[in-house]
Amino acid sequence: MIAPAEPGPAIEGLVTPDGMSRHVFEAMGTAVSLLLPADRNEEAAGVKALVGEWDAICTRFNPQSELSRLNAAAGRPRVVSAFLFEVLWAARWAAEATDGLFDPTLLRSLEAIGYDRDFASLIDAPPTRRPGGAPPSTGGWRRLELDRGRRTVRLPPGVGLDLGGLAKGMAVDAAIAHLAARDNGPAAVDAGGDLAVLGRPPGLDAWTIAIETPDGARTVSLPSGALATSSIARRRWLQAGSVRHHLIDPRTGLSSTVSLWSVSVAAATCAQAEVAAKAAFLLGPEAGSRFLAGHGLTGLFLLPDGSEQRAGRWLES
Amino acid sequence: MAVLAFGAFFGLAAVNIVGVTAHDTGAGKQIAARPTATAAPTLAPGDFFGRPGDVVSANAPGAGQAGFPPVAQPPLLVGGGAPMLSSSGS
Repeated sequence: MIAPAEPGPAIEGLVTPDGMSRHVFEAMGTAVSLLLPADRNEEAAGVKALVGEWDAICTRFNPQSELSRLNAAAGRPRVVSAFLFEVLWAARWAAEATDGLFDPTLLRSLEAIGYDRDFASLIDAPPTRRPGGAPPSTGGWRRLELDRGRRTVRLPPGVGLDLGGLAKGMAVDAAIAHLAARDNGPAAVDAGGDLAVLGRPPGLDAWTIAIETPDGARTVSLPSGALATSSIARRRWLQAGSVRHHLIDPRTGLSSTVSLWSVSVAAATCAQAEVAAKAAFLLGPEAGSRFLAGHGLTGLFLLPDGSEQRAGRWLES
Repeated sequence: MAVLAFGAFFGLAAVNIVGVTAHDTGAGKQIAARPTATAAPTLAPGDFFGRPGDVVSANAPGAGQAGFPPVAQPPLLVGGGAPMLSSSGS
């Protein structure tokens, strides 16, 4: 049986490119790894603060976060910050672009399968009760009301938002933009596998990235943009003795049962990569490949037996 | 203390993801920037994945706009040696 697994890097032995330094900190429920030019170490503090701010606003695990307060007000229009409004606009946009495969309104489904606390707590004290009855309804994003003029948001009654991966991807993009604006030079930001790069590592044409496989890791290289992976390798837990994972299929409201280990997608931005990886995973290798091709995206499907299927534009390094 | 707005690419060209406040050391040198949430991400026109008119709904930013070139999505390269980063699934 597949064992529970926490988020964060599981691959040891990452190398730091010559002339660069690595900074690691915890945020958004995972380890954030930052590669900076060795003479720009002072930029790490700014990135850490930036990602921390995204975390503080978008986390669902702090009842005082702006997102949690919005969730608590479901059914009533609520004025939100311009920041959160635009994140929610992006979330609905992503849902539309994937016909709801990416669904930011799956909070009740996640809670029903036990993911009602931060992941460390979930591993330390697994939920002992199984949910009764039908899974919570999904697709709440279709009834999400966003009034740009008033900057109000109204969640349908009973619906809750979980921005998890999208907020993390957008935070990574924001961090890269922050570094670009400061003329930082080459950099990479990796938030638990959602990563984006700026420029290229000194003397090299691309950034090498390890992707966890069922029996180890394989390496790909990314010349620009971002890469995100949706996988059952991480964020698994036990609920009353049954293994659950966080990739909810909005068509069922339950953990996806597609026979895949992971899908990694390269895109111009980490938010795009994150959303596309999730949608492609839920679609499976065949339909997922067509989905990626339709958007000009490149991806790697890893199957539980260790075999792989590529989609999109692959080049020899 | 200077407030720096900055842009990020999101789709075609999202801008102004968050405001950033740069601190002065007193010696006139800018050091680490501290972000603030006072400014918000602004999404670019076009499809979420950068292809205008592909799957854009009537309410999506940029709906109905034309003339934006598709975003150049990056390829992936096979292999590449010792890994610098890891993507094990979020």
